[in-house]
Amino acid sequence: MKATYRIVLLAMVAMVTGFVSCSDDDLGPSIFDTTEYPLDRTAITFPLDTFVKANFLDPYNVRFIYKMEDVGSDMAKNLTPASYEKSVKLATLSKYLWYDVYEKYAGVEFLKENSPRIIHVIGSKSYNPTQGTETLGVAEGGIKITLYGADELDENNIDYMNKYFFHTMHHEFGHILDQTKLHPSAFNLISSGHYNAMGWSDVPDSVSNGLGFVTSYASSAYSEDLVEVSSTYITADTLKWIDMLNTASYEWEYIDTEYGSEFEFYNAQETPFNIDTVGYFKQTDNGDCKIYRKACKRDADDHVVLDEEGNIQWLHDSGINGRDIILEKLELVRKWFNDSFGFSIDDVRREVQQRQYLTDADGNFVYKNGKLINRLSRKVEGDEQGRTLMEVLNEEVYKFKELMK
Amino acid sequence: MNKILASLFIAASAFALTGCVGEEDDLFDKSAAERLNEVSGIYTQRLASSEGGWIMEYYPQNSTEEAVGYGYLMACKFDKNHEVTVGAKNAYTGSQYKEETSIWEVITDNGPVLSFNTRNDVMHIFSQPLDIPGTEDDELGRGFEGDYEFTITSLEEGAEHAMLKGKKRGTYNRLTRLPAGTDFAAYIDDIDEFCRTMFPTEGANELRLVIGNKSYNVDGMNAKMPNIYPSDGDKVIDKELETYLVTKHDGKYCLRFRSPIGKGEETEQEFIYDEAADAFVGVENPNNLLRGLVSSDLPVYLTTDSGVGIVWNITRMNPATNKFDQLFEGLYTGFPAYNKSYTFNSATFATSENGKAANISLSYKVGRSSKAVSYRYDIAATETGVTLSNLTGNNKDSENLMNNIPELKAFLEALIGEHTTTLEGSGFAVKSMRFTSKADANYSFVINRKK
Repeated sequence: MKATYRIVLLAMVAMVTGFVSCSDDDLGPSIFDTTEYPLDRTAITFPLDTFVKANFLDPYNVRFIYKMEDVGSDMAKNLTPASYEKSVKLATLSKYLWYDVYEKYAGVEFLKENSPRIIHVIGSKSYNPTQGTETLGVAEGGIKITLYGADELDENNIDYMNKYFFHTMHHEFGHILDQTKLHPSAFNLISSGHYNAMGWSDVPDSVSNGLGFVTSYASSAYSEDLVEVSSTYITADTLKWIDMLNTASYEWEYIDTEYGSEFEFYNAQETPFNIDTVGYFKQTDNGDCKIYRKACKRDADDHVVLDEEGNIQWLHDSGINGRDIILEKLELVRKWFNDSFGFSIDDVRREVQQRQYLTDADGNFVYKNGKLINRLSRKVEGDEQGRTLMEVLNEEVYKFKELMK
Repeated sequence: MNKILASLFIAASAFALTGCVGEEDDLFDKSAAERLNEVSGIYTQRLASSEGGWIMEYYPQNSTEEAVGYGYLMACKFDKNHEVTVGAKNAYTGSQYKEETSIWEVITDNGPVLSFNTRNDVMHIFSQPLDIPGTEDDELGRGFEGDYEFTITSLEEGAEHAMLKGKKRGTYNRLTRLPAGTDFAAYIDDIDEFCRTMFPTEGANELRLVIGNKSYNVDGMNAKMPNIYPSDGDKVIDKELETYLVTKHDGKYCLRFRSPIGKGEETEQEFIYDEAADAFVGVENPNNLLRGLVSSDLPVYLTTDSGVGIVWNITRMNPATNKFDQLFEGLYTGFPAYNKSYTFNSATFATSENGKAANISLSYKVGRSSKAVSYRYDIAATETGVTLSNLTGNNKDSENLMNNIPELKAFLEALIGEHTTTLEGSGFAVKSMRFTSKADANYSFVINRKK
């Protein structure tokens, strides 16, 4: 019995030795290259490489990737890199309209803690041919934001830039914040029962507004609703925001039609008091055609019935007031920003708007023909070289050419 | 029990002693990442080393579909500062030479990978997810689906060629070194001109490909995607489409198919044009040839499906013997002699019925109205040409005119009999051929391909 015990003991010792025999080895050098290489001063991309290092990597630990890395994109899609010149603009505008704004009101530490670690710029748009939709941007796990369509960036078209980049940036940034600090659960209940994950893309924004969503995409899920409210509020100028709320204060209805017959429908409207009552034609991605119009009192022939004073009699039968719902959601988002992150979304919005549009000496917006004036494509007052603001911002990149060998 | 335990002890000891046998300390003196960076530097230097740049044979996809299945030439100049100039002339550059600069790098995400990683309109038009102009399908979201990143599968120091493999689509795209000082636009124009000369749209454009002991007909070289089918096979049933590109290297024109051609043991992918032989000679095996038609091909060409659909003009201007000229001139006098309002216009020759029939068509005017009549012959191959027999009019009008215009009848009947057929000019662009009566060498004429 004793001998048996000794043999078992020896065997166990030997096996333990076997298992631990490699454990003291030095792990050796990392398989990853940990060397910090200086930027290549001979590379044609040195100015932008330097700018993104100095303004994103060093202060916030953010990699601004403009040389598209397809392994970091959706490999199932056909995507192309952005041009160098467009990347320069997008980098400077990202700093000007996003990082600088948040740094001003939320602070450097907030950005260090909450900023995505990677911003990946793609030149082409990202189409979903099967669904007939387009992905404007993607946020992955609070780490990475992918921006599509950079090759069509045009500082003269703020609406396009907001749609593809800055609305997307604030939208995706909102997701990151949502993953960091829980938003008020009351928000999820406001439009409960009205979310439409599958069919949202077939519904015009105006109809979604009437149901209490700032965009149709907001109606896809409450998590999207939350960040659509914040991103739309920050990026939409005052006129667009008011227009959206006005649209949301009506109820909308739709009529099925066929492609080509919409003209007959329009012609049949004997009392076209305005386009809202006549309706808007929309063909959905599956080929269905609909006329969307504001709900109002109509006779048996579908003609608008006016009241004694000649006014259209708008209907509010559903009990839903989209305007009130959107404002209720905004209030919760406002509270969430204040309570969870310690800054005001209104401050961020005002700052973004003032950076996009021209203001007078008192900070009031300047209008021309009823429209706001694009500040980015306007010459900077007092600039001796007569440059536009966009050119001045780009110079923050091109100035590094002087350091090139 | 003790035996079992002893065995267990020995096995465990052996396990302990062999636990680290597989390890090798310091096999490499650098980390994997550092070695990859070095590789990137080496290939960067090699690509940038060509002062004249490279010509890339680019294939978006391994497909035989229109546009996406074609090959495209792109001239690339890689600079050390990571700027690349890409030049091309194709349907998507408006058929004009266009070049654009952008950024290139050798990245190492999948071995050494050549990446055109900022937008270049000339290169990325084949990768962008937009509809392709000029095609029937809507390709939004797909486009050409071509690569702009390529795994470098071979690029030796100072090599004349490099091979790139598309990272997503897997097509092989060859780079060929260009001489210092190469003008990209002039280089591409030169190749365009060569292709137009060799494979003109107005030429007969049916070539013969010989690989090993197998012979193939190559139909439609001017259409970018020729049909390569066995010479003893059928153009439709045995259809095999393959695209190709022509480059120029060391002063010689190289025709390289996207994939090797040939079935069985022997294949050939690349051919170099030999001006003296007027043929493309195989690089692997000089006995493999891509050549135009020669006179001895004409009997089969004219009596099979190969020649069907091509119309040949017979005119006063074509070279011919006096005897033929006299018969042909007779048509000009014969028609008005029959009826003053009749004027003879022109004559054509064509084959039909899978090469079993030859047709002479004559156009003429009655007053201001244009009319035409056709006559059919049986056509059969001989050793040196063809035999025409059994002349018939294709309808009553044809018969009526033949019976009432003696000059017409004489012209048509003179064609009956055996003719030797010979090529006039290059066989790559068969524009004309000569018929000479076997019985009477004084009866000879040339027909020209109708444009």
